[in-house]
Amino acid sequence: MNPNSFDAIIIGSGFGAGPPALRLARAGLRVAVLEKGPEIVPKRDFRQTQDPNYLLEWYRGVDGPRFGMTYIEGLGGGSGFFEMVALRAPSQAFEQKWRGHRLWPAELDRASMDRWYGVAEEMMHVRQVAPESVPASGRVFALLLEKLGYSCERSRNAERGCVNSGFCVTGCIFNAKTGPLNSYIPSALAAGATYHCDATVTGIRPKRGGYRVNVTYGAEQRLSQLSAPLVILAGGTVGTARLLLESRRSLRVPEDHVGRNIAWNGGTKALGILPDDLPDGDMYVGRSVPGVITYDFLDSHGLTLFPVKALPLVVMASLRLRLEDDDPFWGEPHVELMRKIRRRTIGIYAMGFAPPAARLRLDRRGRLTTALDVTPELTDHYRRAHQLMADLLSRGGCRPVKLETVNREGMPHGHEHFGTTHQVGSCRMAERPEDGVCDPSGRVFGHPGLYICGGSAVPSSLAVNPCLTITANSERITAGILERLGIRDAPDDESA
Amino acid sequence: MNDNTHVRRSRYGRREFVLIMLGGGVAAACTPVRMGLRIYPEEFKFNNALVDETLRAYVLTVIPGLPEDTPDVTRPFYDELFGLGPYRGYLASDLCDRAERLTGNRSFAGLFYDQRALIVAAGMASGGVTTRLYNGSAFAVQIATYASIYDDGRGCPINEFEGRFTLKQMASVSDARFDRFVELTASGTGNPA
Repeated sequence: MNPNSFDAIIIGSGFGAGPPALRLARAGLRVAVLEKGPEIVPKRDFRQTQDPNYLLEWYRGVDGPRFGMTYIEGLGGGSGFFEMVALRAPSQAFEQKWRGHRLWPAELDRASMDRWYGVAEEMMHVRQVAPESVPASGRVFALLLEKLGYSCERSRNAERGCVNSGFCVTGCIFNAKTGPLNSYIPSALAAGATYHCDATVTGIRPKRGGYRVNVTYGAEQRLSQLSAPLVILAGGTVGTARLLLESRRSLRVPEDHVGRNIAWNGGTKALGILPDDLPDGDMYVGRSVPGVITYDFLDSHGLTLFPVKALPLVVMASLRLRLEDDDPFWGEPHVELMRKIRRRTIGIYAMGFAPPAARLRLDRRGRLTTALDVTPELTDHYRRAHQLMADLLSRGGCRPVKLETVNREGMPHGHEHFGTTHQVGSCRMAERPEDGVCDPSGRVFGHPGLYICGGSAVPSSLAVNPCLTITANSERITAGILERLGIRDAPDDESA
Repeated sequence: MNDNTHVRRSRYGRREFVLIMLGGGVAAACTPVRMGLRIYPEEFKFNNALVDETLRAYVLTVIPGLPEDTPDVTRPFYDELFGLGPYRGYLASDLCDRAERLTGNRSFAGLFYDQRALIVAAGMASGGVTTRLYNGSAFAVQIATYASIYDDGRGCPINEFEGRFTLKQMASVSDARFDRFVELTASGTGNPA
């Protein structure tokens, strides 16, 4: 048996890669999973720290003049570092239209996706956060909404044994996250899949009966060539688009849509100083998304709102904070603000249906950059979100804190700059090749045996964290692959 | 030539003097070139104690209230992560130049907080590369201090950051009666259709 020949090669190891790795291996196929980043063993590798050098081992960014995306390179993709929120996207997400066309294929809506959401939830042990596990910042958010006559509810998380340490974004040293790193990957390994870390795919080329995948391993850049009749791209919005752009000569995927139509949740934040009638929160202790969400503004504003906490590095490295416009961002006024930040501030985050207005491109030196069309719809989304949050804070008696985003030098961007970790859609599903890169079954148009399973296939923003939708969609696509291979596999609870 | 001129000029080394005499006078007045060619007084190139004392005063101006004995406060200026190393001598020199112009006292570290704050504000507002350097330095020291990036166990007393988590009773994290705040919900399960 040729050790470089497999039945299926999966590129990426995160939320989109988990289902095909497990289901195909369990069906008896020889499966290789290629992960560009290093192996991660949570209890061995994770630290509770704000040391940027530690975080830069895993975190990667791609930026442009108006838009930046952050993602993870490491075993499990973002699942070691995500904030455990695992929500089904509301119906409105699937019904979004852009320039007169429904973004999701007609056959996909919330009702049809619920089955697959259920499978993903069981695999990742998704449960509603227990009342006694909602941290202080969640309580303050709930009280603010109650004061204003609104409701909120406990969110759903992929977790088991969370101790509320608050260091979700640095990786959980208590190994409490139940994303792919702790669910799909061990199950897939047990089923016989092989995982290759530090394995960078540099190109894909069609060959008779399948594809040849060029890989370099480790720092020494050892070259190898693997082949399989079935190749599944699950490297996320950035990784999959990058690979298809780099392989465009050998693979001839229509370039009109590769790297384009990137959507994100239009996440935007607001911060306020709490009034005396609201109790203390705690910006540092407790799960980093504090376990509650309100859907009260979904119909009226197209937004979900939830409280946010942030460890100091996240705040200091991305924002200038001031109470008054003419306050300096340093010195005594700033220190007075920082003395309040842990217990006497409330952070609110809004997510909604931002349009698919961003794109990735390779420059002449082979570097990825982003571009963004600042459309009226995008501007309107952010205006609505800012206005709503400012209104809630004001009516709740909170004193608003002015936030200004900064670049890597700490200088203000000088214009509106958008950033996200919730990017989807660089190689989106569509019913026709004129509208996307792959069909609703994940098959890349014109390339039999080549599939897209990850976030890059998801065609729209979701107004909630996309990880559960990415996983559910991947379960659905994987079931279709097995069906086309004539293999029956009834997904069930692997997480028990 | 009066004594003051003599004193000021004597702070430049032979290399800088030659550059200025060779038509580098304009360049010497231009901040990026002065930074790049290290055209500033010799004492800020070789007197590490002076540079460190000045930069410590800068940090305590950006973050007043920080305990005087806080370790590592000037470490961001030596940390490759922030890229400030090549410019720390220039920053210290510029702070002292401004101190001298404002007060006649060349020791930035010897000034009162209000005087130092005026100087830092002037540096921040002076435009171009100087503004970027003052901003970038404040950015770096705020990250390093408030996030306690050099010691996971120390934290920062100003923003009450503990550096890392120490196991706490859930009662101190949460409110066991939380559900009373969420009696009316859109779904009850967290997943409205």
